[in-house]
Amino acid sequence: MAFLQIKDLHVRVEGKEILKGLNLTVEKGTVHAIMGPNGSGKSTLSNAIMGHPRYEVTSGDILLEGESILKMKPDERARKGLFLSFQYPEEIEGVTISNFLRTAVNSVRGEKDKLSVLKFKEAVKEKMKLLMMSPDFLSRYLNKGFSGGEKKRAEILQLLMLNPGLAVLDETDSGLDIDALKVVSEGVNSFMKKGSHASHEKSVLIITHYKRILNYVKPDKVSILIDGRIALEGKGDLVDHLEDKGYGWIVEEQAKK
Amino acid sequence: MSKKEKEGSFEAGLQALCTRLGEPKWACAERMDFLKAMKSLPPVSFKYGSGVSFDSGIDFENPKGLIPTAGSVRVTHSNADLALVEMIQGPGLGILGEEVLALFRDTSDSPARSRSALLNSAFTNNVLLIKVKESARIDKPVILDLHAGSLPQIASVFILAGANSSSSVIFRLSSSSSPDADEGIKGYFGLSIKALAGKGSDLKLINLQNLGQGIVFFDERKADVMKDARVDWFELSLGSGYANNSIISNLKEENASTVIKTLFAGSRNQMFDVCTAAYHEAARTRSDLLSRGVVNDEAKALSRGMISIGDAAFGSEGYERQDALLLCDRSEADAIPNLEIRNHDVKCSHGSTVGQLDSEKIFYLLSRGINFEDAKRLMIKGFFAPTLELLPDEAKSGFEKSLDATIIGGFSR
Repeated sequence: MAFLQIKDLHVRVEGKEILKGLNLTVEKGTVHAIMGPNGSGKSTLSNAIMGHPRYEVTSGDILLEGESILKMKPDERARKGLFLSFQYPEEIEGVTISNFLRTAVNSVRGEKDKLSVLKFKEAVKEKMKLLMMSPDFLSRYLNKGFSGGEKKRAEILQLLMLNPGLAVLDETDSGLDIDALKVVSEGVNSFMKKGSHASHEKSVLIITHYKRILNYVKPDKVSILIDGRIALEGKGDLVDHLEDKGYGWIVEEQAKK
Repeated sequence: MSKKEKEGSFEAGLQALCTRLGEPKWACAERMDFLKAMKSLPPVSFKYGSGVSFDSGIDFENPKGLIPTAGSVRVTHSNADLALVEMIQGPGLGILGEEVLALFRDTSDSPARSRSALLNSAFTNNVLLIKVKESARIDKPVILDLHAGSLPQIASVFILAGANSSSSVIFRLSSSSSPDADEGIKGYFGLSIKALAGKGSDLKLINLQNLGQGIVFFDERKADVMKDARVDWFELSLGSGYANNSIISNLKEENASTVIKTLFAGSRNQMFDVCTAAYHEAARTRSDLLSRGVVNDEAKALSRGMISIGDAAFGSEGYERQDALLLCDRSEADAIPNLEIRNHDVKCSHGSTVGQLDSEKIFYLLSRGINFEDAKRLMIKGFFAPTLELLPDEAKSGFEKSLDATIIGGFSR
């Protein structure tokens, strides 16, 4: 069953059309990779899915478990089970990771299902251990003065704590050294494993330029985004093909059509 | 009424006040000097070069409503270890004695005092002297509650921090109405705090201002900081309809330092006019000035900072930063940093920002399931947090509680 369905999506940013009729289906329990050259609309897609107000959907639809989310605000989408790991996470001074995470976790879980301080601490400690983060991280201000690698780890920590249905990872691999990439990938894989039980299947949508992260987080499906549309789809092995031949041949084939 | 008659009535008011308080002659003479100095100054203007204009509603040409004629500020203290801190309280300057008063006489390079500051010095009717003993190390902050029950009132606090002492004082200003209520007493409240930080002393002075919105508040705070001493000023301004703060540190001797951090949060028609200054008069002195505030509704704020480095202040450092957040299209804020440097061997910087909550940061918080109101709340609290973390719990929680009640509670308005 599809968790996310995008139908003929057209998105404009500052008056310029970036997505030009994009169709995409992310099935439950799968890792789906989107690759594409610079300027093809990858970040526009992730922002449009999350509902950034600067990205204007002019036509088409985005469905989450069959329900349109276009009218929902970003926080409502998050509570419906969407998560976006940002390419450039914002620095927020004065707000500690601990305070922020607890607010976010309890917002997503809702009033009835709030996590006690103790349970929260236990859970966050466990996830931080997995991501090899030191406990003093919790008292630091959100992303303030973090290195590139620390920011990405913090994003994955949020992913694991919020435990959404679908994680959209926007170039999570950029700026990571090989060790950090492994740790972050393990975090993503651990998120997927939680969904090993059929009724709680998790999905990941990885948006990336490079094959690197896909060596650690194996995609079930790959879609190639070129000039605002999905130009080609295939299984995981499409990645290797791209690594050898680049995007040029897809553009050429499209031009022939 | 002619101008002359008005002037005469300031003097008559002062005579009457001295008689009521039973001031000794030397104290009356001192007050008269302040009054003369006040009258020699040009009329007060609340219009600033940056185009921000304030109307405090106070006419400094007219003594009506400015001279305390009855009552007093209720001053209570708690937490003070009286073996280490001496506190003397009375209605007039008489309690200080001539010699102590002379210690606080202006000898600095800092500019002429304002009309309101001189008015406060001339007409004070609540005087408190705090003496921290030499080498006393006081961990718990002394808490002073100043409660205005009737207005006008003017309070003056004199602090002598003995050599190598370490202490902090929290001033909590309140009136008989909560800061977010329109009713309650109305009128003028003046405050003057003067500190003398002896060699090697460390003095932290925190002001939590929660006066009712009917009150016009003018204060002047000044510290003379001696060799190796440090004075930290914190202003947490939440109340009053109009607040005018002037906080000045004179770094008088080598290796003296100061921190001046002012936080304000206002809504409705509140106005904040914050002026902070550090005068570096000696070598290797350091100052760090920060002003941070939020304004909602029709509230206005102006923050002016001044770092002045004199020609003897070799190897000094001065930093100033002013940030204001506008929570509404109708709110106004401006920041004016100033540097005056008369020495080549210094490190100085300044910066200021005035803007709205960053929409990208808000989006980031929303994307985590946090609703818009909570996102704003987190960001506003975060805006103040780095400064609040430096403060004792008594001051920090007081500010946060009022912030919740006034600004954050006001989002639904």
